[in-house]
Amino acid sequence: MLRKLLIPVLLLSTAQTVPTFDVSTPKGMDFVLENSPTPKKYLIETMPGGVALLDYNNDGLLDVFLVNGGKITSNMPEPLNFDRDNPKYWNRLYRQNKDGSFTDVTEAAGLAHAGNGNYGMGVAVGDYDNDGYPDLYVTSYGKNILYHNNGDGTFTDVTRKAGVEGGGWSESAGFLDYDNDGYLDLFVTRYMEWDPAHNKDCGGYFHTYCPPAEYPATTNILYHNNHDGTFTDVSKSSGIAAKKSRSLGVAFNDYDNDGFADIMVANDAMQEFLFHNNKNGTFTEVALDAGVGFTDNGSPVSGMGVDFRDYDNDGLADVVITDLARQVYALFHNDGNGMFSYRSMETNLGVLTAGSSGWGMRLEDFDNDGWKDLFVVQSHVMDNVDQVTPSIHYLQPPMLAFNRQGRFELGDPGTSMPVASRGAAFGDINNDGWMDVIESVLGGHPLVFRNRGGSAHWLTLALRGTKSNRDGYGARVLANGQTQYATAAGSYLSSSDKRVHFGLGSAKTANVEVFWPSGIHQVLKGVQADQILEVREPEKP
Amino acid sequence: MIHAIVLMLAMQAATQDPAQHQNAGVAALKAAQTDVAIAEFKKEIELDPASAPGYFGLGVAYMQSKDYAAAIAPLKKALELDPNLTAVHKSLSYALLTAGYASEAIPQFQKSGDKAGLGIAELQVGDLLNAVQNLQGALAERPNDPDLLYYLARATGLLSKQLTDALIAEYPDSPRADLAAAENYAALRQEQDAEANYQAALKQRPDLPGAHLALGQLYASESKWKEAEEEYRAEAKLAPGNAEAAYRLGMALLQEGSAAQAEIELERANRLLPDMPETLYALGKADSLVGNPAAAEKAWKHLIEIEKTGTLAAQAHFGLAGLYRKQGKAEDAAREMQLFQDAKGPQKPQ
Repeated sequence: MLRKLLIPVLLLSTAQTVPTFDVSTPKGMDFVLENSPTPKKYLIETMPGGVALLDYNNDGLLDVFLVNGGKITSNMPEPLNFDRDNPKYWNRLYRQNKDGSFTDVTEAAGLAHAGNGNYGMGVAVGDYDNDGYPDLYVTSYGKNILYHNNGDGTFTDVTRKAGVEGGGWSESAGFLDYDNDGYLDLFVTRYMEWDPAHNKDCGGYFHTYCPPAEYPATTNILYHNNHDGTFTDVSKSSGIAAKKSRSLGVAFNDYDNDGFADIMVANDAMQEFLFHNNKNGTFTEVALDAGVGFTDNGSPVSGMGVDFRDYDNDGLADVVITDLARQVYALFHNDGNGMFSYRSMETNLGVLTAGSSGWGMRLEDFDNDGWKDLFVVQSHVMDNVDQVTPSIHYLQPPMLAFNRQGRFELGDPGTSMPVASRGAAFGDINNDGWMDVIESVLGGHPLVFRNRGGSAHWLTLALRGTKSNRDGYGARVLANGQTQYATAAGSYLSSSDKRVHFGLGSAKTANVEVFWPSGIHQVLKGVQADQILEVREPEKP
Repeated sequence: MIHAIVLMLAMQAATQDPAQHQNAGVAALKAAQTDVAIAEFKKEIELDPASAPGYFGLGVAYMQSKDYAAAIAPLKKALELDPNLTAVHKSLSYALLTAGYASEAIPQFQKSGDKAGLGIAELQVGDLLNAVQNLQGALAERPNDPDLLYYLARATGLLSKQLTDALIAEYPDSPRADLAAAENYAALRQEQDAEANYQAALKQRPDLPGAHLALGQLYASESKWKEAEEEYRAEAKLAPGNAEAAYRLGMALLQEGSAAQAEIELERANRLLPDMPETLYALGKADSLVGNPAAAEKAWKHLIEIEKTGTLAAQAHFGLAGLYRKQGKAEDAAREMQLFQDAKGPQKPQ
């Protein structure tokens, strides 16, 4: 009798933990990502654009910043002009209203125009001057822009003063405090040495974009924050520029739990990079020795998006890299002692992702069961791949894979509509404790995936650094046996909600530990579930 | 020297002796003076209309000037005048073949016993079975001749297509016709049609040899590993001695993350057909994943003994490097990593 009663209860419990998503473009968000594809197949056309979830006005609601491409014509004379003065090609900031709709505040915020010589790519968010307001760093083919948040709803372009314009072809970027000095530094990936005059067409009957190896590799950039609103390019002295690459994605975590941020870089069709932080302002690239440079066959993947989080709740940061169809998304399990093992097949990602091409992505607990799931926005890089290889598709729906104690199973992301996605940011847009998603779509409107939630419990922590950087980036946070790392970086070209989220399953309370970058260890016992809690770094350990 | 030949030819042009014009024509041919040769042989024929060597020489001179159509008539006349001039058959056959008269060339090639030319002529007239036989015979005498390899490849390809078309036309409802059609679609990368035809063949004859294997490979090419596994398993059940079926089943299981089951199948494949580098590499991988590093090391080292360079060797070195690293054998790991880089060969500069 007892057994008969238990079965429906268990089934109900399982059913309640699987959330569903409502997918739409929110009211008021009329942005179109103008990538301007041409028959010339300029490689930049297929690469933008980023999206950020940030609360720029500190009203407690996440706002949205979207990076636009620019105008490209078949003939691109020097000096390059991507017509960014034209409102059609502006980046856009949308303020979230209390009713969940959005209002375009781009012009009022001073974010219109992004320089006619700049074709937009990605965005990073961080409070680099610790004034309590998130600042924006926009990457481009051309020059990058640092927008300082003035705290009154407006931004000021401080790029020149800050000394962070980069140059060449920048892709994903992220703020981190690599030396734990309490100020956010800035890492910028760069793709390759490319310009329209030297663009190649690698097609036969069909024009196609060329594979990355057709163009010379380049170096990534690390900027050190000087605490006075300026940065110093330390790419060479830190060892970051010691190796050239074709980098697209970047994520941060402390994979050896030594208290210093390490840097994982997704490279396209070459060895991936893992920069180990030497704790003295320098890094050593250790991907090959750590077993995270290639798949277990010694093969490179076309690394695009990357996340650097603990998927199996063993307290160690693992790595997931998205890539192109006919490869599979690469999952590297952190075995401890600085070693990783390639585990795409054992985790079932091999079966789930062999036909997929992924860009923006995140390991995050979407069903609040205490295990981080994988959400990937997808599309092939070649807009005519269906003609060249009929079994591979340019437009693809997103993939949601639920994590069932370390093995992934296909879930329903709320839509099977195929689109050409690129950037993706993750966060709790309506503050209901369930993680939502926003993706950018080439030639189309952004899509928001609103998580309708379920019955499981959750806890979201808004970190407030005092001795550490104000955003608390780099803090390692433990809750009920799970580990999170405070960062807005990861994914592709995008910046996510900086708050730290935990699914708690059936637990109504959580024991929380925060390892701040300053070295301060904070313990919070019996924290009530189902709340967004600000955690202020104590002044003393 | 050239002046002396021209002077000699000029003196001979004035003579009325056909033999002297014959000699002058031959000398001009040797000196690549084709126009002079044609004039000399024409003069010889004019003086002696029954001169078979004169017509032969004229035909050869036209061939030397690449005018194969013009060569045909004098060569035919030479044979008419002297059927025993066997060398004329060979020249005439090539002149006919090159000028596009392949059917007419065939009996000439048969008389001259030229298998290569005969095979090419038969290929052109669509007599593919004989073309393949004759080209194979010619290739046995001249191995690795690129022209013969090309024509034989073309003839066998067309013969294969011809036989397949005949099979499909004559027995359209037979499982073999479905199988052949499936293979055609698979080659054309029309996966859906290929799958439908494989399924149709197997519906009629579930025990059709090779069909499950081929369908499995189609699924594998689309990374549909569960479906591929089922087909390989079916093939392995039908043909338990088939090493390829066991190997491919093991590979599908590896892709699905079922390393322990994969190890069993790959060990079976290795017993059925030992020392296959592909099997050894996959077996080492399965051994490594199930936590048997000693077996993995053995498989990969054995692979490297068999195949010292190339992709599989590189992958085996890479696997060994990872294995040694996890065992704390840093020097061994570094050595294997270097060997991995060496075996991969030169990379495009970064």
